[in-house]
Amino acid sequence: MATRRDPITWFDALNVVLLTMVAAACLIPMIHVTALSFSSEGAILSGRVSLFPVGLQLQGYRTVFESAAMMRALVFTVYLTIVGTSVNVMITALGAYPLAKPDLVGRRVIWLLILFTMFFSGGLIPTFIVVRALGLLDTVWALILPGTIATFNLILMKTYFSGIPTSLAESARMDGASEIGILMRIILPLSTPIIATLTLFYGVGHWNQFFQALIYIQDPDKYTLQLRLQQLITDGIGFGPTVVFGRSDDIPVESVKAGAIMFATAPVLIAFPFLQKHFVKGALIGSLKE
Amino acid sequence: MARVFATIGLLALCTVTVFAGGGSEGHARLRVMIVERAEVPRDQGRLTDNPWTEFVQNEMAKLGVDVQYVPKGGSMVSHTVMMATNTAPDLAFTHGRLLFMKFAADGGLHDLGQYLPEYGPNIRTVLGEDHLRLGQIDGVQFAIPSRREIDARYTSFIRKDWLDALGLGIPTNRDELTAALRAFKDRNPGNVPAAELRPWGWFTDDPGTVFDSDFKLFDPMYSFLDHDPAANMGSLWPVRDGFRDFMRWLHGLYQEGLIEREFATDSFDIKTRHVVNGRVGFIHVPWDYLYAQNSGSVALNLARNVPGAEFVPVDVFPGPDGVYRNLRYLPTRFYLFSPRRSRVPEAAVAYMNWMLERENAWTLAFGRTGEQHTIRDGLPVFGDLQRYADTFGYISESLRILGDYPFGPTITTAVREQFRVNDFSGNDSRALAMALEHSFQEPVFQSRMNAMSRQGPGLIRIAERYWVRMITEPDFDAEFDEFIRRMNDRGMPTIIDERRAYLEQFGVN
Repeated sequence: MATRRDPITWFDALNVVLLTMVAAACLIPMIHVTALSFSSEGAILSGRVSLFPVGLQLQGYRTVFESAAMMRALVFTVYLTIVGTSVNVMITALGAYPLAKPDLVGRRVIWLLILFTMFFSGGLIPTFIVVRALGLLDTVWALILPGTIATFNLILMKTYFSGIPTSLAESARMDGASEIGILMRIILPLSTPIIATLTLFYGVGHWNQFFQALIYIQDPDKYTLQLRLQQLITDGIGFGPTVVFGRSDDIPVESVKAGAIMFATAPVLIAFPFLQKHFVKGALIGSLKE
Repeated sequence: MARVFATIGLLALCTVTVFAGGGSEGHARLRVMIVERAEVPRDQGRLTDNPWTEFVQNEMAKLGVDVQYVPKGGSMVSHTVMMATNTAPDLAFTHGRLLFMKFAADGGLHDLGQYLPEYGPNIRTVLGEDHLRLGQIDGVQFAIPSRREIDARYTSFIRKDWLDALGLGIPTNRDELTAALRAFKDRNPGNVPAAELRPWGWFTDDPGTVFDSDFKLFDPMYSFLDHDPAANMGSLWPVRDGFRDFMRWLHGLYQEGLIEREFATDSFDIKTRHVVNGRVGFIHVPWDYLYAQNSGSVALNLARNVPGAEFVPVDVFPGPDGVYRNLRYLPTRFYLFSPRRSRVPEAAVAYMNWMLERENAWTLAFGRTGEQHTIRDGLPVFGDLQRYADTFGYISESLRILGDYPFGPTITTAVREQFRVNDFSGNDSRALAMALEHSFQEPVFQSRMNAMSRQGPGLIRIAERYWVRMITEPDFDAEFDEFIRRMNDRGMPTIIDERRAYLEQFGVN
């Protein structure tokens, strides 16, 4: 049966126009940077590049991909993102599950203590001292453990768990399942939307790690992609070996910078559409409590 | 002989250090900050572990010092965190003078002066007492200042092809410059669309840090002031005779449409775009702004976009006495210090001392003879520049924390010439020479200036705001008077009093 279409109202039209403009405001800078990454240095300096490459060249990307520093940063960031996100999601789930249970003894106090960290932190220097005292400096764990649980994400997951009928857990318990078994076999399989959402939140957070890496990481082999990107753009490190008194080669500096930005952004852009479906669902469900 | 004494002293130090728990048996362990300046090629290892760090470590081991390199990113935040948490290496450095002064004033640094006679005789003889004073606060040697070979800053450039088209000669003073700017606007020799024409472009959007030396129009400003180093030190430029005239001159140029209209809001990238597209007639910029040795060169891209276009360096800002003076950088790049928590400040001094041995300084600056270069007429000659970069250039600047080769500026200049790729018809050399001629430096304060640190940030905000208003608003006198009134309200007289007191106590440096 054919469905009847509602007539298009002025409100709909205005919405379409406004949302198109918002989408364009987000997209145009990306398209511009992409165009810069393929354009010649002269065209960039002269301001002739807008949405399409001018003076097409691939030297920018070649330089980025040939840069050992960029590739090391990529490998390290992928490692950090995978390990960090796994730890984050696992620990968040382990925290959210008991807190979602109304009969947990001291739940209110524990919850308040956790909420407290959302508004107040120890500050940069004390946190640094703790990280150093734990022997985490210059290790990947300095970028993972201090922020293992983001309180906001814990709230989302706890709210989601609270929405799962308790009768499911009770049936499992009657069948002899342990609490960890209930979590792993019953609750988590029913929670893929929120897991996908938090994976995206945590994953993007790790992918974009900059400030913590700046503070806790000294070894250039453990620089994150964003830290390396900042060094490339501000200090010019990452253009390959250079000579002392100026560059002898003809590297298109501006397009290398644009290429490096795309290099650092593309993986998240590629991953997002695949997680978007879960993301919208998970963020909505996790934010409501009936 | 000095080396022998230094070695004996260090061995004594090692004994103490071993008991204190540092280093391998009989050796002092020295942690040295190292900054990544270029990418380390894959076959060379890592920043902290490559043939050249190994070379230095082996040489220092002979002196009884185990060197361990600690990499450091480029942020000042890390410096502060490292100092605040006692994790800074035994030998660290910063390019920020204010940061170094703060560390020293807070009691965070060793007095290195006491170790110089025994462990650092080369430091005194090679760098010199005058230079070392840059690292002193209240007479205490809290840091060793590195050397900066080229301390030139700003040069003016004018479009010679435009002057030629108008039949004008090269301007030599402000009046002639003003006449040329007017001619550029009225007769438009480059046939630039009127809305795009900028007689004076790349114009600065802020007055810099008012109480430091980062003001981009110092040279034009000083052409209105009497050359008086005592007044530079004991006063502030907003109250100097001539400053009002300087601002009025800029105001007049802007109101006539001779300075780019959007100077306060355009970024320097956009300003450069106008230069590269041939819309600008005159600029006052860092002396090497036009001459990058790669495809990003402003001069080369301008010539490509506008055939025949040529900027030439010009001296147009003589002082009241007719002398062209230019501000130069301080002759130092880094302040090298040893944090108070370090137990081996002597070894830090010995490390720097080793770097200033003639032979070591040569190797750290140019590589090894026969490997990276050959010698002709006493100068290192680099045949294969890429090989040089791949086997040594990547780490040279990271290791050479005391600056360029200190035994002969002509050698460094000759070497620099070998790395020149583009030919700018000698304009770049002339620009450098002009920037250096009769150059002088802003005063350096070697005591903690409390009023300056307390009131300075507030005054900078006022200056930034009124800098634009004084130039762009129609009523110049009203804006200028308001500017001075606000500066006075926010404590400018206190700073002047403090500077005057400093001048009376220490004199002009």
